[in-house]
Formats: sequence, structure tokens, C-alpha cells
Amino acid sequence: MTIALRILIIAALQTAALGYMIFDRTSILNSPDVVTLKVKPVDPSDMFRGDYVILNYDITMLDLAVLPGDDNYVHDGWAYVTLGNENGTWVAKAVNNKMPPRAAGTVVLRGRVFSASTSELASPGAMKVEYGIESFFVPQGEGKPIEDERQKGDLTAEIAVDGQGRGAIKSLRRADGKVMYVESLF
Amino acid sequence: MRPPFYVRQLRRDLEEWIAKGLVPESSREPILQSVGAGSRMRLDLIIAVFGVILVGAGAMSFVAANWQEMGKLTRLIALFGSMWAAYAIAIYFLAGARDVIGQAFILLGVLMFGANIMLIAQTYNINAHFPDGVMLWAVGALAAAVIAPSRAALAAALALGCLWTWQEFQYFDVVLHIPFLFLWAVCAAMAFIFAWRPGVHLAIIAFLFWFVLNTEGLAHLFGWGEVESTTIYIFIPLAIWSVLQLVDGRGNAFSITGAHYAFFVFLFSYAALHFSDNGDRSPSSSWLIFAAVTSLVAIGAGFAGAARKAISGIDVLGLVFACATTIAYVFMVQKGDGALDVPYLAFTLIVILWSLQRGVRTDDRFVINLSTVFFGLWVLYVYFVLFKGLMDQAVFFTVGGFLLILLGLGLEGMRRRLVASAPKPASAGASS
Repeated sequence: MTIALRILIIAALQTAALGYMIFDRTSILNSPDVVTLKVKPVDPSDMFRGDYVILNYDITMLDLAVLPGDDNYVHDGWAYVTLGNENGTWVAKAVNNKMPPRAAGTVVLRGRVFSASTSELASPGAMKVEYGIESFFVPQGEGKPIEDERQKGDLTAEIAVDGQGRGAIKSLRRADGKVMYVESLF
Repeated sequence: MRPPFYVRQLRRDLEEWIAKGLVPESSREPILQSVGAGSRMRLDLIIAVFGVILVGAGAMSFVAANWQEMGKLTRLIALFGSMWAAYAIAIYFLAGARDVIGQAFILLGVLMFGANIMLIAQTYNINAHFPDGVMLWAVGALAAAVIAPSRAALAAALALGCLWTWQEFQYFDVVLHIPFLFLWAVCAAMAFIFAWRPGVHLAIIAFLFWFVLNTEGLAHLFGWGEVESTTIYIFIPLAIWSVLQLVDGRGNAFSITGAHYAFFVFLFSYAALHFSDNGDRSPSSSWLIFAAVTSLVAIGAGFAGAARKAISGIDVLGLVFACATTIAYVFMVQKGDGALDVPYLAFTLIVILWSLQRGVRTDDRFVINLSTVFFGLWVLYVYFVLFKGLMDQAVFFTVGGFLLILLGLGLEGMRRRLVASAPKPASAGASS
């Protein structure tokens, strides 16, 4: 095998890996299921990945004592949160440790259990869940305006959810309904 | 491949033999290559790699700039285009037999691959479990190392593997990161196949890095205390060292390098063991099994090595002594009263002396220097930390010093007797 062919194989393999990343993400963004969640952004700066906004959702902290569903979770394990629409904003209706059957008018979002110790699980209480939609990259220096918007009123995020419960941020909206950012496919 | 000190000496000898006309100059490189010496580190290679790192850093800074002026499709074209351009330039130079710069551009391609992972993650807001991105980068670098093949890409794969396992440990509280070992095993095998000494060093350092990160997880897994956990770094390196003596007594650079690291870790950990304390805990049964098995491996390989004359009887005694005193210490230290500090320091001195005699006997400068440094640290520790009273200190040093002098005199006497009893060479007798 010539060196040219060898290097072309390397480039093709790495391109395929990068292409899969894009395909996987666009497949979620193409999902017909879109939910609107209330968010609370802040604006840290990361020298490695550029500016991004951290988004805390109302469904980040779940009260297991109140929500129907399962009580047993492990740290870094999966949690499946069933969301229902209440006046245009989607809120948690139930939480399970396995994918529940999907009822009409609901969407199931999958997240990783961030904090749930054994003692917490013994007596169900608050559980923190991360859904992979907690950071949103913005042009350098534009994180602050979003934070300012948060001070004026509620910010919401539209989240596309695929059949496995994986979420991806589609857009950010201000309180007056104006779209701040839209995630395009290409 | 032969060890560095052998290659250095061979280079010097070759120059002398060529000057005397004993060896034709054209044979220099084939002879050096036959012992795995290869070419010396070249300035052009170093500069090219530095240049590649700078270009890679420039690509990284694009991430922070965030590319707000470019559309998503334009960004993707730029991302993929830059990576393919790096590989295309590598092909151009390698096809023209300009290997050094060609390899540098393969490394640039690997760096661009990593930058692209981060840029695509940024562009599409992919932020779930970010160590996966570094893992993907490491796998891509390893693929380049295997397929090209490329030593620089292999070094990058090992470094990225370390970053990956550290991120899992640091940010996601992974107790025992086993997946790293798969990546590491392939990297170590490639370093061996490449017959690349720096790669072997990197692989061993990467494994040590992983091991240190995961010690707490291992201890937690088995329910071991502090002192029991520290003995992992005594028994396993000792067993590895002993087995390596058995595997290759011909001075293979890989076994020598591995043995050096293993002995260094053992010596350091043995000296540091008395800092650990199990409190009132008794040794666990799982630790007893671990200690017994690793001691048996170390001592068994030691006996086998002595039978093959790969190591000496003193080395076997040293192995038995180190294993026995470590096990005894773990059993006795549970009182936690510090009464064992002085005897354990005496034991440490014996182990340092064992190391020193082995270094002298095998003419291994690394082991001699290592033993000397440890002896110096031992003296400093005893002087400044151990004894509160000057009289105790004086007694300890004086008695220890006399014992060493007596040992030295005894060894010298033994050497004289051996030299006197050795049969004289036939040629020497004929000439006289």
C-alpha cells in the first residue's frame, strides 16, 4: 500500500468520524418533537471552546418526592423525564429510570443523573439531571447580552427531542417571543 | 534495539575503528541501524514539529474566535478543507522522500482533526460528556499512528489518552477508568513495533499516570486502607522488575527501560511506605491474597532468573527481604504509634544498598545514580525529620556508618579472595 493511499485512508476515517458527529446532531434537530423550556443563563468564558452560555432549566432539579415514577437512580445513570405542555412551556410530569411508554401530548427527554447519592435515593428528594443541552455557544463577547436579557424577563429554549429522548437546542427566545439564536442545520 | 549507553559507546568505538581503517566508513550506518540506533535527533525535525504545534495552536484559537462572520456550511468546508490540506501536503512531502516534514504534516492533520471535533461540537452545541471528544481525538491519532505509520501521531495519542482519562477522573468522578487501558495497550504495542524508545518511555509514563489516578478507585474497590494501597506500588513494580529480568537478560532496551521504571517506583514507594497508616485496621483478606500472589511472582521469577544467571543471589535475597518486610510492616503498623519508623528506615537503607550493589554489578549508571539520590534523601530525612534529640541522631548515624564501613571492608576482602582464586587467562600466561 502506498503512503498516499495510507494517508487518504486516515483522512477518510477521520472525516467519517466528524461526519457522524454532524449527522447525529442534525438528526436530532430534524425531529418533529420540539419542547419549550424555561432557562436561567449565565455567561462564563472557556478558553478552550470559546464563549458559551450555561443554561439552567426548571427541569434541571427534579423533586422525586413529588413527581410520579421511579425513585431508584445511580450517579451518572440515565433519567427519563416525561414532559407535558402547560401554557406553552413544557414541565416535568414524571421521571423514570427506564424509557417509559410515551403518552399522547407528552415528550420524554433523557438526561444523566448528576447528583444522586445512595442516601438521597433512600429517601427521595431533589435530584439534579443534565440533558446535554446545558451550554449554548455564542459569538465571542455576546454571552453578556443574553445574561442581560435574562434580567429583563424569562428566557426560553426550544429543544428538539428524538425518539431516544436525546435533546438538542434549536433556538433561544426572549420573553417577548423574539428569537435570539436559531440553530440551522448547515 | 540496544540500550542507550551501549549505542553511545558503539558510536565512539565506530569513529575510532573507522579512523584506524578497521571498519569502512560506509558500514557505519548499517552497523548502527542493526542495533536499532537509527539516526540522531535532527534539528529540522524539531523545528518542523514546533512549527506544526504553532499552526495547531492557531487553529485552536479559531475556536475561541467563534467564527461569527462565517455561515455554518462555510465553516464546515473550512474545517474539513484544512484537515485534508494538511494530509495532502503530507502526501506531497512523503512522496518526495522528505520524511521529516511529511511526518510533521501528518501530526498537523491529527491536530486539525482534534480542532475540528471541538469546532463541530461548538457549532452544533454538542456538550454532553465532553471527555468523549478527547477520546475520539485520541483514537483518530492512534489510527494515524498505525496506518501511516507515524511516531508523532503515536505520541499525540498517548498524551490525549492521558488527558481523556484525567477528564473522566477529574470531572466525572470515574472510580476505575478501564477503557483507557485498551487505548494504552494498542499504543504500547505500537511503540514496541516501531522499536521507538521515547515511545516506550511515554507509554510507561502514561500507564503510571493512569495508575496513580486510579489507585484510590482500586483501593475503594477492594476496601483497602492507606498503607495497603501504597503496597500496590511496591509489589506490582517488584514483580514486573523480577519478570523483566527473567524475560530478557541480553540487554534489550525495552526490558531495561521497563525494569528501570519498575525499580524506581518500587524504591520510591518502599521508602514512602512508612508515611502511610492504616490506623487500627487489620489487613484485609483480599490484600493478603494480593500480597501473597505478587510476592510469589516476584520471588519465583527471581529464583528462575538466578538459575539462568540473569540476576544474582543477592537480588533474590533483596526480593525476599523487600516482600517480607513490606508484609510484616502492614501487619504491625496498625497500632499507628510510629514505633516502626526507625526499623523501617533501617530496612529502607538495606534496600537502597541492594539497589546500589545491583547498579555497580551490572554497570548500570541509572540504577547507581538512582540509589545515590535515594541515599541522599534518606540521610536528609533522618537528619532533619526523624530524630528529635541530637544524641539519638548521632548514635543512629555513627552505628550506621560503622556498619557500612564494615560492609565495604567485607566486600573488598571478598573481591580480593575471588580475584586471587580465579584461574589466570591462558593468553596472559603464554605472553609472560
